[in-house]
Amino acid sequence: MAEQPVPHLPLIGPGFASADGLQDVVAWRDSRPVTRARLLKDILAVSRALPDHARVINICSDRYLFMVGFAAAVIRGQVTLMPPSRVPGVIVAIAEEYADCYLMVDASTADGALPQFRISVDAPVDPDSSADLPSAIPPVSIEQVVAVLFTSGSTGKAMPNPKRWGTLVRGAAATAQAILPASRHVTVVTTVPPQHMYGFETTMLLPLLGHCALQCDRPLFPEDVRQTLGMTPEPRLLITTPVHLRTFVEFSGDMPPVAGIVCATAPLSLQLAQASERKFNAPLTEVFGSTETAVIAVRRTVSDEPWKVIELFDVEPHQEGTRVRARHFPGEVLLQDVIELVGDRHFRLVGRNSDLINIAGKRASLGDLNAKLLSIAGVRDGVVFMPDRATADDSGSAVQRTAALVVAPGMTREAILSAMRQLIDPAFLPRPLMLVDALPRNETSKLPRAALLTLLAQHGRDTGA
Amino acid sequence: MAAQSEIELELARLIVSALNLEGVSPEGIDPGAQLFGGPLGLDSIDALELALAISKRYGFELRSDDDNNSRIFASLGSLAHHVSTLRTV
Repeated sequence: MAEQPVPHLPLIGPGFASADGLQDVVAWRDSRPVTRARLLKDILAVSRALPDHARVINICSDRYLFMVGFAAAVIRGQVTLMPPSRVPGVIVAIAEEYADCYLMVDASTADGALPQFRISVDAPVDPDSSADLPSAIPPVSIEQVVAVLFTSGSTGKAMPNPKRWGTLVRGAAATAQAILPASRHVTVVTTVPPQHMYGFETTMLLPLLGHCALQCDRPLFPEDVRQTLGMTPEPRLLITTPVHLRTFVEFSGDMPPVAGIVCATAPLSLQLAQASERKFNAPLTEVFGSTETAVIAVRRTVSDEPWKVIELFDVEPHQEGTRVRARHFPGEVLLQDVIELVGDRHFRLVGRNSDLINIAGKRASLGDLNAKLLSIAGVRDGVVFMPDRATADDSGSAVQRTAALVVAPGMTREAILSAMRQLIDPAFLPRPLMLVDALPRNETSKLPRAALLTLLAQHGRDTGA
Repeated sequence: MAAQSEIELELARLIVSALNLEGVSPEGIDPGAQLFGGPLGLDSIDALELALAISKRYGFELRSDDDNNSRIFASLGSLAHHVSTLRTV
């Protein structure tokens, strides 16, 4: 068979090839516009400065520097590894798994186990002359693996999800079409970090590929969001999560108008969706996706309609979950979510494999959390589980957390929590963690859920909580 | 542990109830100890919940983008100081 040349796709959007769009604003950073020309210059400068290694763990919290660092690594053929959490144990575990890594940081960090590269870009110059623009930025092969994201496997080991450039570019184009207003160039304001698939695709790839502009501020509280939106030119799109939305709808002040809201990571109640649309006077699009697939379906939550599968994808219910196929995927993906088809291109979400839990958009498996608890020296027995809490209305209830019952004679709660903090993301730290003399194991040494809940409730009373 | 002031105890109770910290006694939270990442193990989701509870109770909005943020949230004592300066209720 004759060898076909591997197709290539541009690194920062189709506008560059014709030198059009170089003065388009791709980002707002500290209230200043960043043009595509400027972004290109920064990416090329950083790519020349990167150390020679095969892989980079990008833990930059500055959104602009994260984007520049990612793109610079792509040019150098380096794979960006995205750990699901920044806790030291997680980064160390990934570095042990992958040879020849370095850490890309935007601020000093005490972690000295890996070689570090501290990214920086030149201060912006006004006006930004395009005269000395780099004339060429190499197109990237669609086959090049540019990133690896991780999901929590039930075995306790993080499962790598390698991402090829072609898969990311085609997925992002479809997502852009599904969530961005068709006619106008929006600026995205976001509360989600870029290191997981939802944030990476919607807040990093979309601006990098020229679909929208990015506000680089990192608002957290409602008042931050109000101010950041106010500083961002219209039209603006708010990309966020149910946890954030709940605090925004309870905010007493007025929010500046937005063209739309995009929400993902956790189930969104009808009530919270309605309240959010009222608060921002804009449509809310809920997106459905996974680390393995990125966004594959969308819906307008307030109308309680089924999920609409994005054109690129095909979904099929399967006894172990849901099969997802797409031409730009290297293979078929099996998701743990259980769906029910409504017609050909729509589905309703029925449930999820119960081992997997999702807290504020972070995913973990209870099997993994249990394995980590039991790995702590001094812990003889223990269990991490999700207690039932009233979840009738997320606009009123707190985030649901894990609970743990632990048998560890001679250890304090604090010592166990401190050890766990080194191993797992804070979102999954058990709350409460209770010390008990023994676990209520039945004759097959299983732990009946009812017995766990009884023991938990009993301890709650004993401690007066 | 240093003794809690009245506002520190009030805030400690708010933290325990708003964040569902079962098994934690408000009186036992050291005003000088780290709130986030410390023995209580609070994270950014808790910061959101806490900011909401504080705005309802004390009538002002917390912001995260000023440089004082990590100082304000450093401990119960520093948060109490911040709240007593800005409270409108």
